[in-house]
Amino acid sequence: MNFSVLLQHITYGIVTGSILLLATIGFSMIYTIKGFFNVAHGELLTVGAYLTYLFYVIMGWNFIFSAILAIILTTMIGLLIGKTLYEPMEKYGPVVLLFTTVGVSFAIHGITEIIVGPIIRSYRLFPTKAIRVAGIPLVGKREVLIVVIAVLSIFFLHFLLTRTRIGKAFRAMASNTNLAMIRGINTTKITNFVWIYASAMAGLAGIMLAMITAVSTDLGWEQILIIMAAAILGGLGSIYGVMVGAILLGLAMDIGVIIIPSAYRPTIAFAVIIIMLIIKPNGIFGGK
Amino acid sequence: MSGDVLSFLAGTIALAAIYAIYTLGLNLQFGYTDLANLGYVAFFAIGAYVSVILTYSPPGPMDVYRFGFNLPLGVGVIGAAVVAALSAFLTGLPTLKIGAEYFVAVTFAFAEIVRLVAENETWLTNGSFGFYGLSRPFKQFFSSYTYEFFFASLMVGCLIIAYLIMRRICNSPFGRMLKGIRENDMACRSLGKDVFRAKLKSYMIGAAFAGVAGSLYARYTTVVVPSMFVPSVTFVAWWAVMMGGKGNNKGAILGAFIFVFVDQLTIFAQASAAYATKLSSLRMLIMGVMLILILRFLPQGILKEKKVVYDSKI
Repeated sequence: MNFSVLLQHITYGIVTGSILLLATIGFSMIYTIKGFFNVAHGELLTVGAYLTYLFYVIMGWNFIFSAILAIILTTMIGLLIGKTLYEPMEKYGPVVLLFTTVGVSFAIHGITEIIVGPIIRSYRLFPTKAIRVAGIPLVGKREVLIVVIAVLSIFFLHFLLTRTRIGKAFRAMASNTNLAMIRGINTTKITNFVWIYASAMAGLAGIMLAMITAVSTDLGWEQILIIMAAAILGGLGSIYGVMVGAILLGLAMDIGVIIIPSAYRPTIAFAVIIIMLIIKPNGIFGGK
Repeated sequence: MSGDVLSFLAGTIALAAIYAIYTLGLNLQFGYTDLANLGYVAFFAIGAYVSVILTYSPPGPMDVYRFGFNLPLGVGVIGAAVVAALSAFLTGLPTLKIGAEYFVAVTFAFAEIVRLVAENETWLTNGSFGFYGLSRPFKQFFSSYTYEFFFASLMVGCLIIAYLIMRRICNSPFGRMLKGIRENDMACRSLGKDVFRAKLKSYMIGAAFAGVAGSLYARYTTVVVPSMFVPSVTFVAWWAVMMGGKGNNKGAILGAFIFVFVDQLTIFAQASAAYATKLSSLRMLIMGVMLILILRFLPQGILKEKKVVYDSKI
């Protein structure tokens, strides 16, 4: 096996992992605070990707501006769904909630497909020249940008969780909701913060994914399985573990395709979590 | 015209009966045992493929697939149930001991793996071309018009048998133990029950039902291709269980019938081919909204689980 091929796969893996990280953070935050799997989280990726398509390709606006506007709108949609559809269902427990999210995910999928149809589209961004390291062409500028944004968002989240009131309150609520409430933490506000932050990250991840692949209505649906895998690999409820889990999973999938036929790429993710569950059931950083 | 409507109705009833058998299995797993199996379609797919491979004609020199045993259809159905239960055994063994969330994720993953195998292992499954022109039982005795009605009654017959078997299982001491595990598995354990074994059995029996349903479904469509077993088919069963009422076998059947009738109605309402894709998207929207509404306003489903009171004197 060629060294340069390996290096290429590693860089792809980091790019995949970076996108996965952004998508999984929100999923994991919702799980931490609310204790349910949000299957509709993947659909927010689709929404973000399509809104950007609408603003950038159809309306012809600036890409950065389109992306920001799309993220804001995705955030509003996510917050609205969380407030109106999920929160009233909390009293029925996580399984009913899980299936409410399945219903929501069907509904969003249906609505987007009615509007855009089944055709796969792309942003038609200009191809960029691959950056060469020691003569080996690795990735384009766009991929580098994705990784940079992912890294910045990790630092931003870390800053948020450790230095700000809302971040500290989130951590308090994550470890014990009732205790946090008794101590006078405004749990409603924290919940809103989680819906907003999770949806924004999902929208961002959707746009990034669409930038390097294509925009299709199945975009989110295909991701949600891998998002779950990353969340479990990192340890459910551990935000930092999820970051590591996402990067590792991205690397595993993209390095794995050297040996395993690429049609089985998603299977690698599942194989990783099944092995993980047998060896260390609580995930890399999960300690309960 | 009315003949068309009637045969369409017969087809719909046949499909609903198949989905009802499929849903009964999930109802045992989830409704009775609280096993949130998100990869239920895997067993449906395994059942369909196993029954087809057992009954399909042996491959000619030009065929990609390597196996076709040309056995009678009945063997196909039994084989489907056995292999589905075996694969449940293999996936249940490592996952049923760990937490419920992990079981959810692993089953979800397993279904996707099964679909990818069906798509890529052409020697076994003929890849994305799949198997076409499958034979249907007792076809030679009927004209093609009356056959639809015969097939529908055959499927309803299978559903009745499946229902009776399931009712027997659920009313047995084993069924009661499953409910006990669902309510409080610690208490069951302290009473000396082997909780893991019971869960595994429930998982396997449920899978066998899905396998049988899969083998019947293959006869209904007369085609088996990987795209029939996408993850959303799992949610058909879940949808039906949630709609009809979990832990209630009649509810599961009702849920499956509602699903299929809503589903087929949108196909029947199809005015022209141009609207076909719009309608299929609309169908998804309708199903999603119905699920959200039922969970919101009737979280236990249409038919609630019956509270069983045992005579305390015994």
